[in-house]
Amino acid sequence: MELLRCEHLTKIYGAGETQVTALSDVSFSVEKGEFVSVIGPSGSGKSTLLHILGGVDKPTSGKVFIDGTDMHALKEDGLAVFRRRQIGLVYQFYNLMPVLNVEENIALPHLLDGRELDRERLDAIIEHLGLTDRRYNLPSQLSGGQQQRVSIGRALYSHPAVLLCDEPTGNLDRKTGEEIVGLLKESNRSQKQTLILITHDEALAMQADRILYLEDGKIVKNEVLRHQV
Amino acid sequence: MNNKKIIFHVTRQYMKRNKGRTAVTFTGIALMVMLMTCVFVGKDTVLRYLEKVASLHAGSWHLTVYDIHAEDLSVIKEIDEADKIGFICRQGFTDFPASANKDRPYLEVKAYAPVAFDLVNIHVIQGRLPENEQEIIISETALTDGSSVRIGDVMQAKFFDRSITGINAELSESVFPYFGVSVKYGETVDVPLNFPYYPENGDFRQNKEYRGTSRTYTVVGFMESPSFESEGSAGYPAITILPDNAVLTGGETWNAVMTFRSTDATIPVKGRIEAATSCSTETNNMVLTFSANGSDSVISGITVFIEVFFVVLIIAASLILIYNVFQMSFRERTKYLGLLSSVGATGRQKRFSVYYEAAVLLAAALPTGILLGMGVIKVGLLLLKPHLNKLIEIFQAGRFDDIPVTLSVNVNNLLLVAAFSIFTVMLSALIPAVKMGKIGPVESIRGNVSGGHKRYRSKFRLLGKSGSGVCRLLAVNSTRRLPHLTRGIVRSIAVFGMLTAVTLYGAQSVIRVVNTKLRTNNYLFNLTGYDYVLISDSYHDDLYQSTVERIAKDSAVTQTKEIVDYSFGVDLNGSLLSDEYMRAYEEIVRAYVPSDEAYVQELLQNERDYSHWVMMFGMEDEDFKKLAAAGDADKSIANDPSRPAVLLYRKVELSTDNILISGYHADYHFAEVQNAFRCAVGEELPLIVESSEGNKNVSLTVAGFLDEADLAPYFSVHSERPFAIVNRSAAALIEQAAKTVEEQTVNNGYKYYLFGLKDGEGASLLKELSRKEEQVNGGYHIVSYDAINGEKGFYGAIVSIIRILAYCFTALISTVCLLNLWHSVKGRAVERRREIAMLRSMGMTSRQLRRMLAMENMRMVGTGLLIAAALSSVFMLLLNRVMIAWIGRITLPVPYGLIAGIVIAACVIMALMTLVCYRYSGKESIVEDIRNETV
Repeated sequence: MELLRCEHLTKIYGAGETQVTALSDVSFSVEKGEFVSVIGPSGSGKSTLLHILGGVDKPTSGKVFIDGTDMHALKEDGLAVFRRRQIGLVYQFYNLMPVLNVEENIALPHLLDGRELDRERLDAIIEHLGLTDRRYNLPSQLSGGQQQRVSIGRALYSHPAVLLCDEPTGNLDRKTGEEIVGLLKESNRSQKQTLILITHDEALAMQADRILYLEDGKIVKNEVLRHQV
Repeated sequence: MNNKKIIFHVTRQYMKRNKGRTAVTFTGIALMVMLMTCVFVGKDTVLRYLEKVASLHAGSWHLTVYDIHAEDLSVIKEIDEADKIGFICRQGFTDFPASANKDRPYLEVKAYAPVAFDLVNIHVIQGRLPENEQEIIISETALTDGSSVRIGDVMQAKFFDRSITGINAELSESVFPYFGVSVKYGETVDVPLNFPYYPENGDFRQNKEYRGTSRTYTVVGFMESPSFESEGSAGYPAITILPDNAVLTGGETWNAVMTFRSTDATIPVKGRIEAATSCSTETNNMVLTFSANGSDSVISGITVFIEVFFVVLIIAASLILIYNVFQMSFRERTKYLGLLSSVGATGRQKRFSVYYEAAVLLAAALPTGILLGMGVIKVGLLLLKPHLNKLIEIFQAGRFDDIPVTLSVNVNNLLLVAAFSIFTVMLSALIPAVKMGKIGPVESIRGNVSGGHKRYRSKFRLLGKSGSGVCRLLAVNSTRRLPHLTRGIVRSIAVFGMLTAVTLYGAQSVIRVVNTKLRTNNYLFNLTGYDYVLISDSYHDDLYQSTVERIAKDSAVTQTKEIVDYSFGVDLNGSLLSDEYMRAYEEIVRAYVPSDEAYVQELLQNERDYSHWVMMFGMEDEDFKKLAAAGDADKSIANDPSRPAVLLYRKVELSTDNILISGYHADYHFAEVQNAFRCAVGEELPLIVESSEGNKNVSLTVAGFLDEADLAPYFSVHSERPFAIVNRSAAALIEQAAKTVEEQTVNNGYKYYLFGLKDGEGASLLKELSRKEEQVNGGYHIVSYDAINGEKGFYGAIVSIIRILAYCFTALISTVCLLNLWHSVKGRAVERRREIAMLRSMGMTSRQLRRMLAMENMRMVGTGLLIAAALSSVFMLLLNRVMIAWIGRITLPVPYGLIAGIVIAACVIMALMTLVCYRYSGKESIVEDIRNETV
């Protein structure tokens, strides 16, 4: 079942001589529960693609459908509500709220949606992420790996339709990076969560069901590694 | 490149890269310098300007020395501190046949040294100034009185002095209290220069004692009436030249007017002259008041107090502004200083980096701020000019000479601005620099300098079912857990609230003290919408009644009101005055007589035994009812028009200015009485009404008591006498008691009939009323409402000036505080740009964002105002105690209304600033904001 589809996505920055085309006529679709890696060299447009898919940036032209909704046709507040319900974003630099402790950060999108706090689920996620003894710490008191785990917890807690990860291990050592990818894969498998992972690490990308190769803003290869069961 | 240079180089690069932050800090410092310039240069500019305005009245001289004899002349000429000295020689009176005024048949001729013309403000309005001893100018009043004298006329002057001789053997003594003259039968006494010309009479004779000197003068001009001209005087002022080589001979005396290089010299020189010679002196208080060198110690004290009080507040506000600016960028600075530290920079080098940045910014901001300050003063004065012009009109009484506003820039003031600015900036940079010097590289780079290892329990209890809980959660956490950003705003609000409240309180207190000290009217009408007043004594009752009917019928009249003043005919026995009154009276008495206990007790006993004038006003019954309703009154009494009733104003203000004890001197002391009466509502108040048949007793029922606020719609009262309002039937009782059987010999009340006119209408009515007034010889007048109600003259003008200055300073201090707040809000918004973008990326809607910001504001404003309330209370109490110790028992009302205004202003301003500073959210791409790590 198709969960995400993008059609003819183009993103151009600047104008005139300084104009840069970050994405050029990109189209692809992702099935529900699929794990897709997007790989490409620096400046190939990976992060731009992820931001547009995540609704935090707007395409110059083209459309993105998630679960049948044309995301960028939504008004600003509608898009914000859509984001907090349907999309989980994991950034390379974690982007945690510095004023909230671990458990408040994890629960944030859920709380923004005005939903009742599921204390048991929150405790389970915190325990699963190995952050129990850090739950009352602020992000500045955590290591990079711990911060990234909080950021994954935040993305998972509200059950989004799609999880978008932008170089989630790019800022971590190998061992911690593997732990983080393990967490993401586990979520993808156990929760049937659609996962799109941006990386420039080929070994990491190879763990996905499919790899999209991006070069100069275009998909140059769409390689299926394994089929979903 | 040595190690210090590399630190400075890195600091410069950092400043260039972080243009926004550098600009904010630069602006903060430049504004602080600008405000200091406004205080130091602005103060001098305004005061010099006001001195020029004040000098329009009596001249720019600082000290006048009278009756200088030949042996005193060397003392006067050798005053080192003097800038200019102009001698004046009185030539005497001479007959003035060209006079058209029978009451002014003489010229009073004086010879002025050329410099004295300027110092005494002699303005020629026709012709020119005299150039030699044969030329003369005469006061314009001679012309306006209809004199036939013209420029070019030649006149012979035979000088004489004036005296009077008592010629009525049946009259023991003729007394002229206003002139301090009394003459007995057969006695001859000299009279002062302003003594009027009396027609021939059977009581005394006027004498001319010729001096034996004469001159021939050519009239070369007419001067504007000089300030020393008394309209009741027998002679018109006339001035000729006193040549430089004039000699003061044995029997003669001269006067001298002088200015000093520094006005501070005035009082010491005055003392020296009085000690070394037999001359008397006079200081020009109008001019000297502005430099706190006038002879009235309270007014001079207030001038100094205002300067010190406001300068200290401005410096305090500026200090906090700059400290905030440096403190706000603390976390961001720690990052690059951490990087420096990681490559080996020592704590000292890190501190130097902060000082260097402060010094570089100061070097540029200092001249910018000074120039900006001068510009602001110039623009501010141009805006204030219309108000200042009103003062010129007061001083010049009808004539108007524009005085251009010129900046009074003095090097000492600029050095003071520079010194205070350097001190403020370096002190403000000191604390952040010391803190930064102590932070290790890892904490700096990771940015957890303030967090430490503290753990924060979750605030889920803050979540409500409404969905706004998360906004509260975020608001509470962001205000508590970002203390370096929150404290700046809380500090700014606290300082804004505290300084504005204290400044307002200080300004109001100063105005209250000045009003109390200088006010010449005991009461003022507070009624609005009235343009003219018909005033009549009771001798003209019939004319008054017919005029009132005429006015009431006129279609141009919008509203009317009648008030009757019985102040000079109704007395109250001292035994009816309260213990509080007696204690206050005792305070005043003891200020005069600190050691003679028996005399104090005697004076107190007299006060209890004797009768006291009551300031009593009769009002229309409707107004009486309204006043009763506002005050603490028994409505059954107040609303019964047949019952003679009185409303008593509780307050009385006693001071050494209005209670004089002959033979004693006291420093100024004031004592306010909150409840002056010893009687209760419903009781009968026995009063004594004066009449030509002797005193008569009248009893009125006390309907109630009034406070300042109750009375405010009708009167503002500052009186040492009991003040009361009576209804119609009480008024009738008083009038009846005052009338004699056969004829009315006692004026039983001045009637005031106030009326308003439609715009541009009523000219014919006014003309008719003026004609009636001309036909009556006194006791019946038609005057403009402002003429009877304004505080006129010098002291009224002083109050206006102090009011303008005080409110300008308040506005200035509020502006500094608001700039401070702006910087803090802006700094917080800029530093939270990424955080806000993250929240938006998490799905926060713009409504939720606004709600979160509003909740943050409520917390910060609330905390700031609570701190402000605590600090203001302490400072206001302190100020109150200082004033009371200085002036006496005075109530300095806390301006609750204005304070409420400050609270509302703080909330509104904070909301507006937040709206403007967080404008970026939603405008820029979320990704751009998230990527934007530097501010």
